[in-house]
Order: sequence, then structure tokens, then C-alpha cells
Amino acid sequence: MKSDSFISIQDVSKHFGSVRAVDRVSIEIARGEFFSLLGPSGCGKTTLLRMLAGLEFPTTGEIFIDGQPMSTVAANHRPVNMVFQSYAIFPHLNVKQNIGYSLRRDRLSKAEFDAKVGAMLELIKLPGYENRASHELSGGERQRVALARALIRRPKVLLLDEPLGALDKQLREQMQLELRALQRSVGITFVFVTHDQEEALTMSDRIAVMSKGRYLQIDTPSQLYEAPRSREVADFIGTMNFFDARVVSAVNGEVIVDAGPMGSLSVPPGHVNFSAGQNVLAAIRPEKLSITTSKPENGNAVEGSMDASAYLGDRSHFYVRVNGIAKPVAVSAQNTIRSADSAEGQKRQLWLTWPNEAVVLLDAN
Amino acid sequence: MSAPGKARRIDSLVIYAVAYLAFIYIPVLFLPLFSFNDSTFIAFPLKGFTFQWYIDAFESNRLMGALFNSMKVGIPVAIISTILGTLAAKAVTRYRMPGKASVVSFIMAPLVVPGIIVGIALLVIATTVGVKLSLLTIGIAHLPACTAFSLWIMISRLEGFDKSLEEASLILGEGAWMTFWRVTFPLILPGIVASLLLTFTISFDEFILAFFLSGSEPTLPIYMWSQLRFPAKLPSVLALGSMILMVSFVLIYFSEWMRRRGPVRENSSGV
Repeated sequence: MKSDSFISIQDVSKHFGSVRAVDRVSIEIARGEFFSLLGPSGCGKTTLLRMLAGLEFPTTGEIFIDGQPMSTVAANHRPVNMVFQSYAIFPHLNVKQNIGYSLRRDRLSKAEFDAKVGAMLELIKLPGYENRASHELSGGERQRVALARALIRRPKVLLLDEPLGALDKQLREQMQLELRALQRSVGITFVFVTHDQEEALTMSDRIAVMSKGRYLQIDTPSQLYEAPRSREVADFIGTMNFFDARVVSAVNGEVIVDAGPMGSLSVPPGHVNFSAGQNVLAAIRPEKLSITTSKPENGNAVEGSMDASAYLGDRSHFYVRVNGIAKPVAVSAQNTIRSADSAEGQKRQLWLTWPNEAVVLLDAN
Repeated sequence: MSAPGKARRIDSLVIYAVAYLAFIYIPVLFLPLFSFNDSTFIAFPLKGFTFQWYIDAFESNRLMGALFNSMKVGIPVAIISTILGTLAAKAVTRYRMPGKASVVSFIMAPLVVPGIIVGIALLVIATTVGVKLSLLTIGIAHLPACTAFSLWIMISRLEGFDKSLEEASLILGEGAWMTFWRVTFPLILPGIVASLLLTFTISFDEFILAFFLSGSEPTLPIYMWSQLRFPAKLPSVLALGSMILMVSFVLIYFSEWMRRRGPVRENSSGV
């Protein structure tokens, strides 16, 4: 990854007065990658994006794009473009003038100009929209026009600041797929800012999970979900059950922990090496737990009672109380069989089971 | 029970509104009324209808001279104060700076400082320094209040303006200067026109500062004031006053219309 790194963020900080919006961040992004910055508001993701755009400049550190240092390059001379959260469609210009805004200096003939804009309108599936006024566009159309305007000069990097936030759920899911397909077809490096973890998982090649001006983990969506390296990441991406545990033995990577009420767990080798006696967190995703009504013959199992349940159509969420564990254990199950009432939902007495591979061990702190 | 009560309430409000408008406008309407009256005396009963005073007004070189003097002051004052007001409003709304609130209040202060005090102060300074009183000194005296009005108009225009529009232009490759001309200027143009019209009207009508600071060339309000001593000249002053009233009214109405026209709402993103 480092060898063909295209955007290189090296030890970058941004201070606003005494606030460290971005605190010594280093990230390498590859050419053609769809890279997301994910985190709650105020985590520094938008400030980092604005530094890539040249709308803010780092207090310390340096950003390289395609090998060029950017600290003295103004926004209008960078090989990047950006789609704003508000889309920033120029209200006094029509669709054609908006999309062709950056072509002024190319001194194109009217025919060339129209052809270029027309090609972009084809790309965003809005042919014939040239003369629409900006106020005649719906939210999804504004988003596409903003995208076309940003892509028309083929920037090396496209920055997107929560571009799907203002759209309703259905349109957002459609635009997620279209944006991903578009990115593959134009082959431009996308840096995408979002606070929506589901959106980041759906679209990204890699995600940097950010918190308080730093990143916690940079990984592929599946690695972030299946192998989080810290409690914060595990908590932020999806839902996670945490159990206090203590390492009993660690041999050849295979770790045996004592998880109190959850019993003795055997965990396959992971990223981190643990040593005997260490306090750790055992973490299990809700969908990796199963509920049975009779005690299983072998494997991991713990007895519990149903605390609450929620029916969500395609799946149901159950909250199971286990003796000795303060927080009810979250379990998610696909509703594969048509039934008005889930049988497990009614049973007071039940068992939770899970395979060894379901357990992730994290540092306890 | 409530219906008649409600109707009576509306009636009294309508009477109040009519009385209020009458109080404002009837005295002013005496001006055009007597300007068409065929008599040199401003008194009832009216004698007859005439355009004579309008013809006299246009034929009076001194009166027309005063009108042009007022324009010579008002047009540059409107342009300069609108440029200053626009730049100040852009600085105030776009940049973080220490003491911004007090800077704005100091620029706005000329709106509430009595003109007679400013007039005396400027006269004292002008005579002390030895500056010759002229249309230039009047114009300089008009600038602070006009700039304050312009700032007030332009701030309200720029505040309803999404900053990311200018950032988008920057990222799309335009520098600060072209961004101003291609994005900012077209969007604040209604405010600029409103500011030009309003500041011109303020300078054109202004009496106190002009009274203290005029040299040998009087502006129109000063000339009209001086003519009140000669009853024979009064009707043509009324005729001119009526015309100015008309033009002022049209200008103010037009500037208000421009100022309110389509507050730019680009990001309500109508989904």
C-alpha cells in the first residue's frame, strides 16, 4: 500500500486556538481507492478533508498529493475537487453553467463546451437537464449535478463531505451504489467523509475510524467489523457485547480466557498477543450468538432468560439476561421462517451458544 | 358574541391605520397641491391650475445648478459608500477577527450621532486646518452615515449566503477575484443596487451637514432653504420639491423591492 501511495498525510495537526481538531494524523491512501473517514461529529474528519481540499492548512505536518507537497498550494491550484454537504449549487446559474463552471479558462468553443457538459449529464443520468434552473432540482438531482461539476475536469482526487446526508433513506441507498459504480468507472481516488457507519461499510475500500482528532484504526470494512482492535472501534461499528475476561493461558496464539459467567473461552489466534494473567475484554457480535431452548450437548453455552425483544421484519433483536452480567446480552437473528410470533421470543428459559471463532479479544482499558 | 366584537376591533384598527397614514402623508401632499396653484401665496382657497411654477423651476439657472450640485455630491457618495460598505460587510461576515462587534458598532454610530454635532465638529476642523468649504467637504461629511447604511444592507445580504458557494468556486479553480465576480457579486447584486439607491437618496436629501459645510455652491436642500425668504420664488421651489418627492419615493420603493427580491436560498435542498 505504501509503495503506490497517492495521498500521503504525514503527521498532520490542525489547531483552532486551544482545540486540536486534528492531532498528528498520518494516513496513506492509494491511487483509485475509495477511502472513508468515519467518526462522530467533532472527530476531525471534516477538518482533515478541508485540509486535503486546501480550504484549511495544517498547523504542522505535510500533505502530499501525487508526490507534490501541498502546504503552499491554494485550493484553486490543487488537483482535487469536492462535493459539499450542502452541494453548493450556484443558485444564479442553470445546470449547464454549474457543471461547466470550471471550464472558463479552457476557452472552449460553444460546441465543445456543450459536448463536455452533455457527456457529464449522461454520466449522472440527467440528459436534457442543461437549462434547468438550480431551484427546479430535487435533492438527488442537486447531488448529481454537484458530482458532475466536480468531475468534469477529471480531478485526481474527489473529496466528498457527507454528500448523502440530506437524502431520504431509499434515495441514499440508491446513490451509494451509483457513487460506488461511478468511482470504479472513472477510476478517481475518492475520499469520503461520513458519520454513518453503514454507509462507510457499504462503499469503502478502506475506512479510517476517527475520534477526537486521531484515528483509531484503518482497515477494510470487513476487518473493522470482524476484527476491531479496540473497544471504541468495536462499539462504533455495529453493536457489540463485551464481557470482562482474564487470560488463563496463551499457547501458539491460541488463547484460553476465563470470562466469568460466560465460562471458559478458547479464542483462535488474532492480531494481538496476550499473556497469561492479563485482563481483557471478550467481544461477540449479536448475530454470532444463537438462542436454543434446550441445553446443547457440547460447545459454548450459557443459560439466560429473555429480557426484551424487538421485531424488525427481516430480523429480530433479543436481549437476554445472564446471571452475573449487568447488561443484557444482545442477540440478532434472521427471521428465516414466516411466523407471526417467534417461538424463542416467548420462552423464558433458554441457552445462548456461539462458535469459538465468534469471539474477539480486546485490551481491557 | 365574539363576531361583532371582532369586527369592531378590526374597524378601530383600520381607522388607526388610515389616521396614521394621513398624518404622515397629508402635510407632504400640500407640496404638490400648491405647486399647481395659480398664485404666489401659499394659502387656501386655491386659485386655479397652472404648470407655470414647473416651467419657472426648469428655467431657473440657480435652481438647476443646485440640483446638479446635489447630484455631483450624491452619485460619488453613493458609489464610494456602497463599495466601502460592501467590503466591510464581507470582512465582517467572512472572517474571524478580534473586536468585530465593536468595529461594527463604531461604523454604525454615525446613524445615531446627531448631524448638528457632526456638522459643527467637521466645520471646526475644516476651518482650523484651512480646508476650503466646497461640494467635496459636503461629500466627505456624507460618507460615514451613508457607509453605515450600506454596511447594514450588505451584512443582511451576505449573512443569508452559504459560504460553501465561494469555497466551491475556489476548488473549481477560480481565485478570490474571479470568485467574487462570478459568485459573490451576482448573488449580492440586489443588495448593492438597494444600497446605491438608498445612499444616494440620503446624500441628496441631507440638509444639516450640507448647511455647515457648503461653500459658494449650495446643494438643493440648501438652495431651497435660502429661497424661503423670497415669497415670489416659493412656488417654483414647491414644484421642484414635488418632483424630488416623486423621484425619492420611486427610488426608495425600488430599492426596498430589490433588497427583498428572492432571498437566496440555495441549500434548503428541496427533497
